[in-house]
Amino acid sequence: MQTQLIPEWGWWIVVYFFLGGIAGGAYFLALAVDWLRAEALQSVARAGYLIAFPLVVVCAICLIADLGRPERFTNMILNMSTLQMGNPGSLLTFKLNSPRSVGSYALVMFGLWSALSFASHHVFKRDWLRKITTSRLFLALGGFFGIFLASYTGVLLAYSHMPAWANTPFLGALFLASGASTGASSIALLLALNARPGQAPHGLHSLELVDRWAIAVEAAFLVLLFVGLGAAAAPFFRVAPALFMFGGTVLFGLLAPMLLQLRGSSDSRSMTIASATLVLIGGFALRAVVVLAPQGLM
Amino acid sequence: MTKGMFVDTSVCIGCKACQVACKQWNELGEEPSHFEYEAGLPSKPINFTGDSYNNTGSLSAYDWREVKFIEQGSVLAGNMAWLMMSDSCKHCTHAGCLEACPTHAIVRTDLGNVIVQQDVCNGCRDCIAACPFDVISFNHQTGKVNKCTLCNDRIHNGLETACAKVCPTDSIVYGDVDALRTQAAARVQALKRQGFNKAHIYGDTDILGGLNVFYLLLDEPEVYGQPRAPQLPERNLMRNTLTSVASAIMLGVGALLAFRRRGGKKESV
Repeated sequence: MQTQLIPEWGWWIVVYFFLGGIAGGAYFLALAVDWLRAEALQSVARAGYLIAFPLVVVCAICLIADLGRPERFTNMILNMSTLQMGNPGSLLTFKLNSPRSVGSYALVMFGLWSALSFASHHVFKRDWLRKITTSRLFLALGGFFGIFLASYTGVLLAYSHMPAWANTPFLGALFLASGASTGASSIALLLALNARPGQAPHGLHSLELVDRWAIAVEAAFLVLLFVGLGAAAAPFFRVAPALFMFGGTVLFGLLAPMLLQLRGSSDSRSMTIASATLVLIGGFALRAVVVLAPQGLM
Repeated sequence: MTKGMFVDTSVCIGCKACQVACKQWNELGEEPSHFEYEAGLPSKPINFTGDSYNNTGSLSAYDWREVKFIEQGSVLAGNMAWLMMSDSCKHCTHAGCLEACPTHAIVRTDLGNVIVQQDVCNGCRDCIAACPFDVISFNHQTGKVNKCTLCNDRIHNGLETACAKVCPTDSIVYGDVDALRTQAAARVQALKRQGFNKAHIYGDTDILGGLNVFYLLLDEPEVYGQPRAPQLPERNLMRNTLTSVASAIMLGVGALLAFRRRGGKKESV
């Protein structure tokens, strides 16, 4: 057998995928609130915007830190082959067939959009800016960037010859569902932490509904992933990956929060915090095991 | 005119002169994982193969050429035989590494060879995941990726590749790909007449549009550790995109319905 060379994507990428999912999911939910002009849920929108922008900044730092030559991160956007080497071609790099190339642009656009939303709701509260950031066009484009950021990371892994990543069409869909779940949980966590003990802030019931639905979709794609992979799923069944996948993701991230929420966790601040924390642990475990296990790094 | 190499494994004697010439011409050092432990990597402290005359075990950022020794039969049965193969980058017509590279660091030259522009590569490593032959590899010392360049500097100055130059049996032949394919087809016919019924060309136009470095093999590709039907990672792009869109629709509709139900009224505590 040929020795399989691995890209050595480690914890920087795991953290990037995890936080990118939260940022994309939380931003999308905040935009959905504004799309519906749901005044009663403005606390949800504000919390979503508060989460998305800082996290995408951290995402960019993680992505850059993972590069072998971090100082060359601009090469993802600027075509140094043309600018520096004098080869014929455009001044910008954009390759529709390269998930990393398209994802770099999506990250930049998401950063810009989430920064404007963050500013208009938290820092620079001017009517003209709020009008722009709550316009239908802005919300629709922002929603697209949020969905893209949360899902393209799975597609990036699938753009590979490694069987555990390449032999399934569900990685992007799975990461997106996990992003929606962790995004909703992050907002719920923030709202619950800011609420007075014994008081449940507005929006938690809605967030729970979203989270339960996202958990159900995530569970469905997880089953499809394993069924579709067949023998190629073997790396996930070694001891450490199996603990992360079935203990971390399935038990902590899907089953436990679902049970807590069905018992009405949004009525209790502490139960909300517990449920949201479990979802976040599950989301992190999912990214860790999917990224690391097929490379033999777990 | 596309340049390439025809590697006739039936006359390879495993002398490894090609490996040495490659190391010398390209000034490649020793592979670190063979000599020291690298934290976080799945390599043993001393990673020599130990059970084969194959001393590299795989291609890497420092070993651009690997001579494989494949044992067949057994000594006891009296039919012990070796298959040998000098492996390297195939300089595919449709190259996964080139497609995946987001920075245009990996390009194809006017002679058809695929090279990594070291001044542009930023070490994202997408190309490693994309190469179906496990050729391109990360160099921890430079933070960039490396692979065989088809001796880009030599061939652009009218010379043949270093490995082909030193091969004592002409197992590795450098030249125009079209002419080499004609030569290879004739060689396959000659071998079949001699009873080597499994002799075939690996890397004709049926594989990734044609490998510019292609092989005459005496057994199935898997025996030599080569994928029978390597595929470009692009094949996964559309189907993953479609399922992501389906997931987005499901989640989006769910979120809108949940918020719409609760959005107009205060939630009870």
